Amino acid sequence: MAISDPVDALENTPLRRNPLLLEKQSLGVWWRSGEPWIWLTATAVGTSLVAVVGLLLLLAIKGLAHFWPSTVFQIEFENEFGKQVLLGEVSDSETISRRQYQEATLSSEDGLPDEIDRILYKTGNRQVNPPDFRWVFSHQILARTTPADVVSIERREWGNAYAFLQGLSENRTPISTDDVWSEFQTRIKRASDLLTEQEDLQDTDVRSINYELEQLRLERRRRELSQSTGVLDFSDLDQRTLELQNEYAGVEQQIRSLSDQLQRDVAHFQTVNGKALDIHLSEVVQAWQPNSMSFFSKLGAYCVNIWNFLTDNPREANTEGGIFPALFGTVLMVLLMSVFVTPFGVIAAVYLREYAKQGPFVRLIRIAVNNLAGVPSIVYGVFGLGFFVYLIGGTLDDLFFPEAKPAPTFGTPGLLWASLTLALLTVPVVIVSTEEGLTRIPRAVREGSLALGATKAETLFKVVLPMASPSILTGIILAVARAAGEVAPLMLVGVVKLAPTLPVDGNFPFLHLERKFMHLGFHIYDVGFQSPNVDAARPLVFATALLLVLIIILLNLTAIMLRNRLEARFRLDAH
Amino acid sequence: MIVLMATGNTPVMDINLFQGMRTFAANIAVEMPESEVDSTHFRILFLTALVLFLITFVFNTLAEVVRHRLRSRYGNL
Repeated sequence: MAISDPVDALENTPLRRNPLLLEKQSLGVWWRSGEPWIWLTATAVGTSLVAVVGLLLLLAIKGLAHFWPSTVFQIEFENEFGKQVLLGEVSDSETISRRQYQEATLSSEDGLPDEIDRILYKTGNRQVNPPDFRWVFSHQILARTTPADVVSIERREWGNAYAFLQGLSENRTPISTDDVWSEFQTRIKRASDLLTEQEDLQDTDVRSINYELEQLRLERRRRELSQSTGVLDFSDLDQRTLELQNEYAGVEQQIRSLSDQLQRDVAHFQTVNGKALDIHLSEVVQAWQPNSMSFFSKLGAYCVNIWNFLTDNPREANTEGGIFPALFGTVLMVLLMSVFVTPFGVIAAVYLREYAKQGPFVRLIRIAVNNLAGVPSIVYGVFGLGFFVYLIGGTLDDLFFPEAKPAPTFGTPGLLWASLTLALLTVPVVIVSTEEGLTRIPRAVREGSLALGATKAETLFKVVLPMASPSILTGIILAVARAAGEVAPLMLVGVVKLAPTLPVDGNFPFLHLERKFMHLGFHIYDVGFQSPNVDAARPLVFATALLLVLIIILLNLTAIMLRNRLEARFRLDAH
Repeated sequence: MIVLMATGNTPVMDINLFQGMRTFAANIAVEMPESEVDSTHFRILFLTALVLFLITFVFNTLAEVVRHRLRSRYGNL
């Protein structure tokens, strides 16, 4: 209306006969009509959308490309040190100016172009031929080939290796076989099966024996503390300890024999420089010949790589391997946080809205709640450290776990304190949105319930709270979104770079709230900023960031779907 | 966390916008994990957190007061 009216008014004026004047006039009209502001706001929305999509695309492209089994090139090039050959995957490329080049290489070559391309090759073989990433200037490259038989080996230590397979040996005697490659693959399979068996023994049997031994030690100490005089009877503990030690010896024997079997096979390789490279098959995660793989076998390897990334433990100071512990820690922490924050926030909101006398005091509380939402998260971290960890945790240790002293049980950062700190951080969000939901419920509904003879508490539980549940869920969604991305406070109250055990395992009480855990956000910070091998870690940073975004989207979507279902249900009830 | 990653975390800073800097929040996050419990450093970091809290508290309260004023002025229209 507002836009079209002035134009309509123009139609019947003499101005219409002079096109130049009309144009000038109509620009002014257009400006006054307010349409530019519509364009401005639309542009702002568009820019935000482009930014979000661009962010996701950047993360996806930089992160996901890492898992593709890319072509391995053999590069011959000549630089100031003479002719060289290397074997590697293209990891990055950039264009630098001639001046930068000359400053970097101290060369005084003539006839250089203004801009020089350089390519970063991941050459692997860190222990025989470091470093494992090298820049090569593209104008120095003499030949670039893709040998079909080059093998790319993902190892448990020392990063990737790129070399040519020469042969295999079993217990130091060479194996003669027609198809070395398939023999190699079968033996890798055998080694990784043995290794899985060994890790299972270590993770379940050894760990539970150690856990129980530790419990026995604590029990002994507990008895010592509780009874200061008289002779103490430890015979039952001693007997159990002996049993466990025997059991442990058995398991250790098994593990030893598995390691001996693991040492059996060795693969002999030759690097591109002609050096021999022997790799124990127990070190090999997987190996493939990327240059002779078809598109679909590459696709298969890609999926396997992504799966490994999601389900493996990190290796090599977090720069390789998977991120499973971090993924697990993030989700568990967010869930625990929701469990803590929901009742707390809802009860507070119910009191503020339903029971408290509205007055200056309640207004003051509201201001305080809103203030709480605006406090920087690191302040919560400091509060959590000082209050939860050292004060409450320390007191709990003194009261209930004196036998473990001086080692702290709860008086140290851990999962429980991290969840509680984040619950505190997100409680204002839940309070505010629950309050809004409570306000929106019509008076008539409450009065109807009261008129039917329900008490105030019954009305609250049977009518008001169910009707407000979509708003409560909205609050939880917002809380989860905020909590999952929060890292700074967690650094102080429980997140570590590398946790030796998951917070959930097979030992009673199964969920260990006092344990430290890993978190995707902190993992990104650690790998991206404190990693010893930046080039190897960079793709993992992007992939982990993408995963974190996806997890938050997934958690949010679940909650949103739940909310929509609830909303639909109560809308039907209302009519 | 953003400031921790993006500011460069240089403890010495000048007025130049293109040089590194360090914020209260980043300072606490970087130094707290390596400070000894109950030491002077630890207490100073708690004091930093208190100052940071007070600053945000003042601004949040101001914002809340302004919000109430605006609401009471325009809410009646």
